[in-house]
Amino acid sequence: MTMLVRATPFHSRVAAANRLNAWVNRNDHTLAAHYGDVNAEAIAPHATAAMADISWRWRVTIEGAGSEEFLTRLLTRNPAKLSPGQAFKALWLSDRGAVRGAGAIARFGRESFQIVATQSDFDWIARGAALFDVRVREIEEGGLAIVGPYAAKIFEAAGFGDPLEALKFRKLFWRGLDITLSRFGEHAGFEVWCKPDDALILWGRLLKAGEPFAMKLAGLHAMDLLDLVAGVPRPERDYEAARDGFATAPTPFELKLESLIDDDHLLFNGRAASLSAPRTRTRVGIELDGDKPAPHAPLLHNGQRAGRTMGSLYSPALQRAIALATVDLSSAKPGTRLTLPDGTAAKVVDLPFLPVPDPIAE
Amino acid sequence: MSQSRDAVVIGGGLNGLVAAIYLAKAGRKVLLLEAEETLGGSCRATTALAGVRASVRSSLLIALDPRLAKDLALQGLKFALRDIPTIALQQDGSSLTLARDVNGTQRALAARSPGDADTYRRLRAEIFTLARAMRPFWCDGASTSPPDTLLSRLRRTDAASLLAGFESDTLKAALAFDSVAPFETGSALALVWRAAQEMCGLQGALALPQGGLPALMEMLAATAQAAGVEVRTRARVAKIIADNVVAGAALESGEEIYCRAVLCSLSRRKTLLDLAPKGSSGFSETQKLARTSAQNGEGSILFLLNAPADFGSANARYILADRLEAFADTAIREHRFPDELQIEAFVPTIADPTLAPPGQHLLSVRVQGLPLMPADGWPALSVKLVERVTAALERHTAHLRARIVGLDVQVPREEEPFSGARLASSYRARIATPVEGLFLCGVAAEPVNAVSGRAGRLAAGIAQAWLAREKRG
Repeated sequence: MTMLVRATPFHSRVAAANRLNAWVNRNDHTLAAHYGDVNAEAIAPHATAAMADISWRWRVTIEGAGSEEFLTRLLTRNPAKLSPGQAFKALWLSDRGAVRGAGAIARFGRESFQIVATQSDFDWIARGAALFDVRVREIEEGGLAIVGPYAAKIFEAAGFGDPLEALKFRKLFWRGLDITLSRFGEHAGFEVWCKPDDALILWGRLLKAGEPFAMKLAGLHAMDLLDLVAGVPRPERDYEAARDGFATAPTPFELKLESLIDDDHLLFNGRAASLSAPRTRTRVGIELDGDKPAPHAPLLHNGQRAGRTMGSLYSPALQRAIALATVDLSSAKPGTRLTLPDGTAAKVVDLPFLPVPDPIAE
Repeated sequence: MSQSRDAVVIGGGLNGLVAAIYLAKAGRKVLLLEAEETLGGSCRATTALAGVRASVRSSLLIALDPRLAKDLALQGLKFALRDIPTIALQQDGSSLTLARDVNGTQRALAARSPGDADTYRRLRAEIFTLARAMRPFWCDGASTSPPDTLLSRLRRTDAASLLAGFESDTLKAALAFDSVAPFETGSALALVWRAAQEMCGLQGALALPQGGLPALMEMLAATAQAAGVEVRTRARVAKIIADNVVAGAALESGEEIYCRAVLCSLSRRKTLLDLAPKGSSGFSETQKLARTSAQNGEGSILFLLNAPADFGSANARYILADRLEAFADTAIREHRFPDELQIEAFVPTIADPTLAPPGQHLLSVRVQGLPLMPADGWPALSVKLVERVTAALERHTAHLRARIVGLDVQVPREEEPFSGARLASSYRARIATPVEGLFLCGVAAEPVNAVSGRAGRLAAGIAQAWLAREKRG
């Protein structure tokens, strides 16, 4: 398999900091897996603050008179409820109710929206948009996320102005740069987006703003771990999103993403099928006995197949390997003892594994 | 805003009328909307020929649902002809007769080729065994499909390979005519479907109603009126109003009509792509529909003659198709006129002289496999079509040209594309749409493009059950 590799706009800075040359690919982008100390990078978002390159996130703008009508059909929540400047998280489903994607949807204006997701689904969205005569354009920008209890202080120190509420965004002309500030992430942090040419300036300024708060650079591994302990599943990494337009799996229910579906939103693609799909599985957290992660492994309950793990990593905070998993409803109760095929003990636990750090503000 | 009704039926052809009547008889308040000035759809009297009451498109029924006559008490329905043999005309002027009497047919075939007689008997036995198994599925609307082993083999087989065992090219081509698209995967099922029609009652084979198809339509229109169906003609529907459930129909005039169920007898593509709200059938389904459009269609010519066309024996259906391979002509894809034509000819006025003015006769011709959008455009090509058909027929009936006193041509129009999957799916699956409360009740809900009225009857039953359930909920 050939892989298209793209450097992010921060690549030269990332490369300089990537002492062990630990690289990974995601969404065709070359990213630092870690900057030398996985454990420290994983602890920082819980203890102080961490900064990560998130330019690999897939972003599209959707523009035109029919954009609200299109997104009403596309998304599991009603975009008419968004005012400009607001965002929500939602899913989009195949015709037969399988999860194709999940992301944050922001309303820029009356006829202008943006979708941010961790996996591209350009064909689906572009072809759907064509039915409504709506323009879809992928955006290539630099993006940095700052997460951790001190993220709000860094926001203030950087001079971004009034604090930003969760699921809001703001466009800003900031010390000579056109940037967009957003809070689409789950982890009590914020994101800053800039033009590729301005990326290195942004990198330097944010590092400087973070210095007094012991902010560390975090690689993709630490950011994945942050998602994992927060119990946030991501397509591609944790589950295989539907790619066939008539696929019936994975369902929102088995991924426990039904909270991203509005009951009173009646028009979205795949609704009828997703409502009538069998509800036999759900998503849980799994604590493994030992240090060894077990991604995408079968889970047994009294020797019987009871589910499967999704993404799995070692958590330095919990001192053990953890995983997200989809399991049969009968095996989903916290405390249920499961095993891996090799005999490793596993226990069902509530999500999230760790509480999302509260921002420190005064 | 008009008052609310239980159901709106779009299209006043045979299926639309049947659906409306069944719903009205079940006590529903039904409005039937017809875009044209008169009811009847493709079966109404369309020709401008003086003194002729006939549809240019067709003069024969091939699959009329026998239950209609009983359920709708169509006492006036009489058949001028039932059980019409098929005669394949060969290039040398001779002919092969394929009648219901299998022994007679076998003897006739054996005179030319003992092998073909044998193959015919074997194939017919095989097809009828399959047809018997498929019958509840195709004729009664059973929703459980027949044994999968049976279906799965036929779904992968084309009619051409099923017919490959015959020696006679004419025989192959004549049998292929009824499969419509003999080289398409699954077209073997079309032959089985045709056989299943014969088992549903004699008129299922081929029938000429007394007074022609327009008379049947008038009978249905009168029945609809008696049953309390409200009918509006010249009422073309512009949009189907729906959110996740159907709410009504908007006319081209701008008028909005509210109702709880809509039964549409137009094509699947027209209904779901043009009339239903954008994207309401699902993104993938919409794209699939946009891709699957037919490239060829059927043209028809109605000749008015001053003496009956004489093909050698009266009251038969004649097929002129020389080679099976001609059905696979690439001309269609290139938007060209095909080199060889597949023609069906029938003289309805021998059995029912009332269809034409006294002393005159009709010759009703259907031509398969014509391009929908020929490069030269149809107005110019229809002259060529008439010339080619006349020349081909004249080889088998003397003085045809001299006897023609008038003619009417119907150029091909877009129809539901052939699909093996469609033949193998249930009525319920074809009638239901992704929009709740919207049902297809026309040819789109039939296994093949034939006017049987079953789609209308079964769609009415499904809509009625849905209306009853929704009321409770």
